[in-house]
Amino acid sequence: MSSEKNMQRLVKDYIKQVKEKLPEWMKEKKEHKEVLRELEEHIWDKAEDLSEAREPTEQTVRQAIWELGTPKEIAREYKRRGTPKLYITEELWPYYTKALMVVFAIIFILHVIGFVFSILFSGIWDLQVFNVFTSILAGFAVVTVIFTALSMEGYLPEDFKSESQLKKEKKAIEKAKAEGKPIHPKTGKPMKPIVKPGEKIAGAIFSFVVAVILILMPIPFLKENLHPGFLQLLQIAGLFIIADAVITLMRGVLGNDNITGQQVALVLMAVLKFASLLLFFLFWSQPEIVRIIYVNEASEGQFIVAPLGTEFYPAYQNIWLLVMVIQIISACYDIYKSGNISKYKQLIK
Amino acid sequence: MVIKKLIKRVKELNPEALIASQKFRDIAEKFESEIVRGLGKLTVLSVIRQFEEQGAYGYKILKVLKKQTKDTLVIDEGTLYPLLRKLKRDGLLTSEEKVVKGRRRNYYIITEEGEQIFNHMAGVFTKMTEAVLPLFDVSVSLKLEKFYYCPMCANKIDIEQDERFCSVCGYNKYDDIKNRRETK
Repeated sequence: MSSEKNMQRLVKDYIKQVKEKLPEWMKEKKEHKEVLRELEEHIWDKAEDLSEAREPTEQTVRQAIWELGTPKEIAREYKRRGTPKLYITEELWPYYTKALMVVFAIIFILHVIGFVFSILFSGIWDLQVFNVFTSILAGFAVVTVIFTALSMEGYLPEDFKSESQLKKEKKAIEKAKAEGKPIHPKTGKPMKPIVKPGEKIAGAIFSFVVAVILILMPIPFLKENLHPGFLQLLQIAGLFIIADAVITLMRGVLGNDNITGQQVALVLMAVLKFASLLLFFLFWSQPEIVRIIYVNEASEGQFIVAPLGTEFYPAYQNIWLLVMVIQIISACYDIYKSGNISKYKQLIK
Repeated sequence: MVIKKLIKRVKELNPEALIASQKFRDIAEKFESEIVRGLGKLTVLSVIRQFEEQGAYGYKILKVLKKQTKDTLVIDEGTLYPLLRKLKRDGLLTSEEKVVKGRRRNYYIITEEGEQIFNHMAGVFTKMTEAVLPLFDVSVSLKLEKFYYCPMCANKIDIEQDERFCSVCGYNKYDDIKNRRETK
């Protein structure tokens, strides 16, 4: 084999080894082709220099490769992209916490479903065999290991986005800057609006309709067959929904410019949610006023109205307990959010 | 790097020398690599801007850097390209593919934003060096007749530049520069 061919082979082998070691995000983007071409050119430049401007020799090519470093060393530099923060880079950190929240929420919902099923049809599907804490710990471990590995490989959030997505984001940032909209100081991205006015107004109108139905009860069959005490509670629920709709409408009308108004509305919403706990308690404490409506073969298509069987009382009450817990969490979140959106005040010009 | 060269030669010099001990080598090597890592971005930008719109390719940057720092600041070849890529991703550099003498190379050019950031980094580094060096019985004198260092953010500004405000922090430098010109 001629010396020229030997040199070519040496370089090609080295480049091939570097390619194998390069991080996956780079290969996915096809960015590695440019990187490898640049390294190859570097080797030839260096070898030429070492040959004192004469043609490179096998020895100078070897020397140039040696000085460039091992493929592992080269790849390690490309992996060193993010800003270190514990074992997970600062760039991936917000996505890590988000992923944890999603995983925890899924685990929680699965357990709630399991719980509801187990109390309704005890023994049919008892998810509680999986201890909730064990599941959360396992979820935490899996998510942490994945994000640590991604950080070590030098992945950044943009590696998971397509080029068109990145262009779209860039345009959105430029547009937000031109319009003077708030930009997140850490991510550099436009901040999400506090409310989508259209959605809020539409939601409020829908709530009004539901509330009117609950208060006036225009369905004669239900009016005749439901327990008067239960109908009364539904009317109170209707009043709560009207109050909720008024606050929601207020938030939609105030929009994103009136931050203080939004904060007040969120606190009012939290107060309303806490107050509604009393109504839920009334539902919880009176299972005897609940009527169930069903159809069976014997009724020949006619609805049968019957009181709730006493054996279902614990299940009924557990469901209301769960609703109350969710309502408390939701109220606390509203208060947290009202404090958290104050940062918009500083960012809005 | 200086320390690596020394380590290679230690057997020729004195095997009993301090540099022969692993502990000393570790500390010295780590210290040197930290300095080089910190200076890498600044010095690479400094070399590239010398080539203006023409730009410079990787190997050329290394050679110029080595020559201009009298073989003292030598960036590891393997670390240069990831650094260039990072600077490009951050918008401080752009690159252009050119075929020169049959060779297809990436020429790196400093952007306007890169130039601004470089001036700030150079200013911070210069002011810090000026402040720190007396600790080692060394003194430096800044070319104050050519450059103005923003008192708020240390941005390095050409004294002939006519803008009223510092481009980095918005400090009104007009009066300071006017006084400087008058006392010249």
